[in-house]
Amino acid sequence: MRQTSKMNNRDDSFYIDKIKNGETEAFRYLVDKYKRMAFTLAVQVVHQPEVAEELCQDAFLKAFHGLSGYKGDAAFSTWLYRIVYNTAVSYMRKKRRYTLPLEAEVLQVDDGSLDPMEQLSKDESLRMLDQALLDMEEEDRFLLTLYYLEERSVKEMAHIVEQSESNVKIRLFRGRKKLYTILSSLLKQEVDSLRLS
Amino acid sequence: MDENTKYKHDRQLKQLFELRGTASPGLDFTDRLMSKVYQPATDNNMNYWTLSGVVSLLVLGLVVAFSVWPELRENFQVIFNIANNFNINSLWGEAASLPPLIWGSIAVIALLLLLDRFIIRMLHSI
Repeated sequence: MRQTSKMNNRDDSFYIDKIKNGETEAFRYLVDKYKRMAFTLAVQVVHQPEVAEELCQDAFLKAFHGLSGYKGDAAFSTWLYRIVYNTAVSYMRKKRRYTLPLEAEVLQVDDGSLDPMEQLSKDESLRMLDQALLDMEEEDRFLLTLYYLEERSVKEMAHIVEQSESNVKIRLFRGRKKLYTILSSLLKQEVDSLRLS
Repeated sequence: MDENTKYKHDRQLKQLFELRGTASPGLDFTDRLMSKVYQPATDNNMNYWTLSGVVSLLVLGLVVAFSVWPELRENFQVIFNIANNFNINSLWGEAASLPPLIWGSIAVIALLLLLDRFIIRMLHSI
């Protein structure tokens, strides 16, 4: 994994150097490589695919015009996802007067007595995952997606969302716990409704 | 919750996320983006505010030139007379009566508008 990441990083720097030397077309490679993940992350924040796509366009454009400022201290993807995150969060802040949501109460589940994921079919699982994610804060959705899909380290995630490592650790821990709890609760409801019918 | 259960839950969540995978933007995403990338640099850098700044500075420069060289006003009057009976001296009289504070403010705003892109860029690069 680490080796692949290093290799990708070297690939990226090759194209970044080309762009910096005036070969604009080389940017297409980076766009094609990262557009899916960037879009996925933006969707997690704004939850509207059409808006997320436009925000991604803006984020990539910002990345292109700001490439001279990219020093290569972090992976290009880390730098890019940070731009995506800032663009999406700024949009959300402009869209509504940003108020910090109250800390949602973590639901209680019987540990061990229920094994929800194993009882779900693939489609049901995905439907419930989407439903559960909707109940979470956008920043938590963003972090969980980075954590599970990209296997990013806490340090990298902290860099992307511009928060301290300890803060990201706490958010991640709470987010994972909350997500699992919501999923378990959803499954319980599903099972109960089946029993009643 | 013991470590094994926590690990199991985490693994299950990871599997779910992987099953869900990444979402795809529209098919024309890259082409649309690249067409924006290829737009001339002036389109991206010369925004509305910068343009306003340039126009404001031009107007301000003209006003300063009129006040320093009255002959310039006379020459402009000739041009205006061709078009209509516009009297530049009466307009100048009105404008010259404005307090210096207003002209100073206009000059500062114009400069800020002109420099905003550079300031933003400078802050961004720090």
